[in-house]
Amino acid sequence: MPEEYEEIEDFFETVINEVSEENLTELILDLRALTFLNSSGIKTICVSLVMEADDVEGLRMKILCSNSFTWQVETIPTFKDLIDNLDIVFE
Amino acid sequence: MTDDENRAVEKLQKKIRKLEAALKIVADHSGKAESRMRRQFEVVSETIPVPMIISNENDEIVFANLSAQKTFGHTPDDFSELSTASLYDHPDDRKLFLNILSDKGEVNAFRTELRKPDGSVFPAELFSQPIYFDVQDCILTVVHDLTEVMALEKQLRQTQKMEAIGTLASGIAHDFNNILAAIFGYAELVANLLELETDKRKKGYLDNLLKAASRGKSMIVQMMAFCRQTEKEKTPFHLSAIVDEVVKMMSNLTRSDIDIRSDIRNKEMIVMGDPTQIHQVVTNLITNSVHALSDKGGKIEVILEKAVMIEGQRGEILIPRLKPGTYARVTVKDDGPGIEKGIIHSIFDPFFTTKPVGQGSGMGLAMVHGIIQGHNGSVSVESEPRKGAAFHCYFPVTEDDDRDAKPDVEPESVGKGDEHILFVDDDLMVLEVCSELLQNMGYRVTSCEGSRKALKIFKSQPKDVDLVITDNAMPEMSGTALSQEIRKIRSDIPIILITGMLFEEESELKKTGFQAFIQKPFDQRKMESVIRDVLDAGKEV
Repeated sequence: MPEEYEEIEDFFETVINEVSEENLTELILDLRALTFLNSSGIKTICVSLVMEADDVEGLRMKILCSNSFTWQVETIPTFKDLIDNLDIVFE
Repeated sequence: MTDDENRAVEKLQKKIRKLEAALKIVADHSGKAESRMRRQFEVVSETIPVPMIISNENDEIVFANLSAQKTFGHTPDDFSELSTASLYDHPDDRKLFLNILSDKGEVNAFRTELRKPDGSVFPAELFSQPIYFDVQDCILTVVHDLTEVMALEKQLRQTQKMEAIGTLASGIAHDFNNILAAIFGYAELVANLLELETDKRKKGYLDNLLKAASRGKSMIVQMMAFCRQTEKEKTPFHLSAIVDEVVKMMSNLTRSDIDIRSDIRNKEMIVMGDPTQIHQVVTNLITNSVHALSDKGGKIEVILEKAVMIEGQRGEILIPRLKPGTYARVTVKDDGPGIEKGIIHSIFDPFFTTKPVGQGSGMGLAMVHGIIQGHNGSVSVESEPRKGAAFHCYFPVTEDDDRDAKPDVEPESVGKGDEHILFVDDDLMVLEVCSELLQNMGYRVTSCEGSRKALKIFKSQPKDVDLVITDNAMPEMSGTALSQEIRKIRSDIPIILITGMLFEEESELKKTGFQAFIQKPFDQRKMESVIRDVLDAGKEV
């Protein structure tokens, strides 16, 4: 299962590198249409994106969520334990 | 440690804390997702009214939902000690099932027979897919119990068969009526010509001829009862009175080693119908039981009780299926040899009999079926060889008050007449014999074999005709249509319908303009009486 996320991990790495190189100040992750995510997917977002974003100086992260999906309502708010500059917006 | 080393250590510690937090997030997410999905599975599996069984690779049952527990009559603990193979009636079916699953990766509509703990077997269709359940590779199997579907299919086939036989019998009855009408008519005409003293021998032959014709007539009456063509005006009556009367009558007529008893559990139930026909139903059923007990004697019980049918109720197979409502149930059961499984689906067919040739017409149960259906009721039978038989007859219960039933009165010989009658029938033999009978009664008769021709004749001399007698089923124009056309010309003309089949009740026929009807085959006295009544009633007005 984790190997299925290797491509996404690579993509997140590219995103973080570009954000760092370009000195960007905001990174938005839009999950509003994601109906289901398994534990490997959660781990990939947490470790490869959110934790890495926390290491980028001056970067603020925003996650757009949907109230319609239980997993988002239950799990996304706990991402605040991984990053200081995080805005979570539910629609 | 240098400052750089301290910062590196601090950074690593922060990373470890975050990884721990991430691990917690993932674990929480997994736990919640798993418990949510498990709950969803439980709700779905316990709610659907379909048996679901999950078995592992060792053929052990690891899960059986509530419906499976109900269907098979096992508790969850029982299931955990069972192998899936033990649920099959034929062990080879399980092997075949597993082969299909292995070849195709799934099983769709696999027909088999499954076994319950009491040894009973039921037909089923199995649908199956591999599933990962409780950390092991398993097979999810959904069981479609076909018991009710197959019972309904059987019921539908039986109903269609009875309808088809009814149509056939009704056609035969119609043609036979015309033939019998001619036989009766000519026999009576010949009888009128004979001298009582000198032609005694010929008179004897004629009497035998009429007796044979009467037997034919009685057969037609039975066939028509089966076809539900002899509907009389229905009256409300207490069913208990009929049951009581028949049981008493049959007890007196039956030998003493056959004990016939009634058990009236509800005396007040009123049904709407023809008491004579219901009398016939109970008599026929008791007669069959008496015959079944003729070798060794035994007991016949006639039970009358209330039965409530509810929507979607499962149970015995009823022919036809009943609407929900309250019914009076008459059960006639005996402790005789029972009915063999192979013939139980044919017993309501006309002319089906197990009696030796010449001892039974095979119309008894066909009549029972026809009469009950004509009363919007239903009949079912349950029997096992050597355990007796029970017939359950259902009649809708009505709220109406009982009324005194009008008994059929044998017509008395009445005066003849000289009026002019226009007689219409497309059957030449009936036309000829009736015309002659009418002439013998003194009437002037214009006979006509076609309805259009009859209408033309009536148009040409409407005032000259005193009475029209017409058949109903005629190719050019029905008797009903002819009567309507005649009424347009002269509204006060009395019209009598002469018919072999009754498609409506008497009251319905009168609504169409007929003053009376004569049922074929008829005798001279009946004909005389009806005609005289109609003509005299017209004069009184």
